[in-house]
Amino acid sequence: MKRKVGAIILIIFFLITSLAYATLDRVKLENWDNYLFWVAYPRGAKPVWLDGGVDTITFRGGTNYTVFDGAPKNVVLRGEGEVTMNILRPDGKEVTLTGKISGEDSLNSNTGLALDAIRFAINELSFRSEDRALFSPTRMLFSGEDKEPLRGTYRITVSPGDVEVTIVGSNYGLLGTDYKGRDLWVGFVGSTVNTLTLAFLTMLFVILFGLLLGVSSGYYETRFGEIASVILEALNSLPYLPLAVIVIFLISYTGAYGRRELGTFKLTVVLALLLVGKFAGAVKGIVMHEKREEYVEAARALGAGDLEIIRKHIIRAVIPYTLSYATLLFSQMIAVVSILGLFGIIPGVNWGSFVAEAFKQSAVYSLWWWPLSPSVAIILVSVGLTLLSDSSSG
Amino acid sequence: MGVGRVVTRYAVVVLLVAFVVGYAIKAGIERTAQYEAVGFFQFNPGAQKVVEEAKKLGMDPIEYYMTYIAPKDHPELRMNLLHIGLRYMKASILELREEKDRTPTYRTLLLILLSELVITLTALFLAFKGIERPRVYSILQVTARTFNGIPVWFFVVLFFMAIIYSPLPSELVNGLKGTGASTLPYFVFPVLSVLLVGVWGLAEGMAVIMREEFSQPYVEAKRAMGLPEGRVRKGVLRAVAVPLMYLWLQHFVEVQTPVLVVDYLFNLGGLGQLLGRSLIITPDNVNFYPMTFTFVVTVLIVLNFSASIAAEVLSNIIEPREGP
Repeated sequence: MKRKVGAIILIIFFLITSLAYATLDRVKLENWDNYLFWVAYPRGAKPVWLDGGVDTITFRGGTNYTVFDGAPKNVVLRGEGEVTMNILRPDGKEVTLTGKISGEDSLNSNTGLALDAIRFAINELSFRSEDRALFSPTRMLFSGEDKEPLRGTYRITVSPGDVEVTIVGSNYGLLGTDYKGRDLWVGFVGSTVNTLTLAFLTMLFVILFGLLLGVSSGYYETRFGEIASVILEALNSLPYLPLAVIVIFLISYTGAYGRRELGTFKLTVVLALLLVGKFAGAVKGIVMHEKREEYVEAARALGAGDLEIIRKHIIRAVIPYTLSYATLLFSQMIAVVSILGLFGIIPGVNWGSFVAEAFKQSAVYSLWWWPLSPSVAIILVSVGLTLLSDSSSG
Repeated sequence: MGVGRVVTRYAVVVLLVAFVVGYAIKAGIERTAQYEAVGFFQFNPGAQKVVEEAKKLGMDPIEYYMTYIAPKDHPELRMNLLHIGLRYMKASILELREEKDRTPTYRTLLLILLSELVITLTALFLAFKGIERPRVYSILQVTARTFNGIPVWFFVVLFFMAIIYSPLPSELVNGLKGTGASTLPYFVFPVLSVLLVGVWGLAEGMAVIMREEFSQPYVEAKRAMGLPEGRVRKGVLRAVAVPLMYLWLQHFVEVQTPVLVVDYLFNLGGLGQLLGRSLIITPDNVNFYPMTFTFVVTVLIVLNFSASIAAEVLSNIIEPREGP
């Protein structure tokens, strides 16, 4: 029963993650560390499921947008060429903005659109030229003569009709944005996939190296076995966190936007080599016990070679333990990857770097859902794996 | 296992760390020397002479500079990697003479000491409860597996939230202030974070070792003799003291990672923060401070080595199954 519950938790978690990753805007993920990319997005926005903010909506052609307490932060446009935006305000005033866009642009950053909005605010409302330092073009456009947000419904029409328009409020996306404007849902999904992939591959390599080291050091009681044993003990005594930090730093390089770059294969092999000690030690213990069993002695007496004995008898005894240990190891590797990410050394966004950024931006004081999201994910995975391995551990 | 084996093991650890540290330091110094070489050939009036000298030897001027001139300012360039690493490790330990360098070590040692004290006592309590009640034992098994995959920052996040969104003073998360005993309140949540990560595995391990001992006939015999449960437990504890100590020793090495992370996140000014400061990666630059890094690693190695030697010596003294 427990195993079923564990499997269901993990399946649901992996399905949601896969679906989220498949539908994720890859351009946003690739530009996660490119702060200039996020200039048009609201900073410190709340998630859409939290009440009390200004909604973010996306549309093509035209829409009605209602302002309650606060004005939107920006209007983002995606498309190519000349764009005309017509806004009929609740006070009956009408304003038309024109500008040329290329790819993603916004009302606050596009010169043509911004100038039209400012001109309207100065000519039709009570804004002065100096107010540009205090109010963004979007804020001006959605303000009344008292410079406060003008409540009511706005009719917004954008042509050509294939231009995608996002009116960015103080609520944005499933997890809001950070203080650099980055969509936290993109970071969360990207970090989840990255962490799980790295943890899984590291687990595979730990098992591979652990079996090799454990079997060889446990089976051969020669000088080689002795050396392997000392190396295993040394690996268990290493302060792995600082050592992993320095080794990954040495073999990685600085890429675009100051990101550390390192191939997944290299990274996971290095991590596995540093963390293999405990597993290899356990395998060694099983092998040493198993090779003294009578059936192994009998096989040897019948003329079986070392490799045959290892393949037919020893490995068969080690595999059940390995399979049971794999779930434990996987969750352990998740913890390891996310701790190294915390120190900014793991390339790409991961749960550790995601939380570290939350601490750096003091998000725990205000954007509590940010550091909490990977925490919830990690609990789900850990509980799922524990329940899944419940019967095998017995 | 023997003291000799421990010394061999730590000799391998030191050599491995020295090699990695030496590689990192040499790579950094080579880069610095190359920048200096470019400056030398651009601005130094004697550069032409060096170019001619290099030509005579059939060498590239930069290669000549790196071989003959740079080592005068950077003697590490002529050393092998192990030599550099060992030299820095020795130098970093000598830094402990300075009071300002001792503070991070003391703070981390205090955090480890407090955490280990709380963890060991709680683990012993849970292990005894696990032996008394099979249900507690199976809960221990599940929690040990679950918490094994939860990084310590998870609890740090929870405690940060609890402190910020409750009447507790927010300064508890803003870094350690004051001196002496007044700093102790700042250690409460870090110790709790380490405890929640580290206690379950240790408790389960202790329960496994003690369960086996409790099932021995001599324990039943003692109980049948009417000895109080406290004395029976004491006897069992003495009998399994050595395996328990080795279990604890492995836990002691492993707990240092959560300690460093907690120290880093709670701004306790210990070795975790030093480790964070030894490698600073920004979008514009990467700064590696080898001496700071080597200091952290060397202190941890010395700590683990001392604990291992102490465990070996103690195990020889308290081993109940040996002796005349």
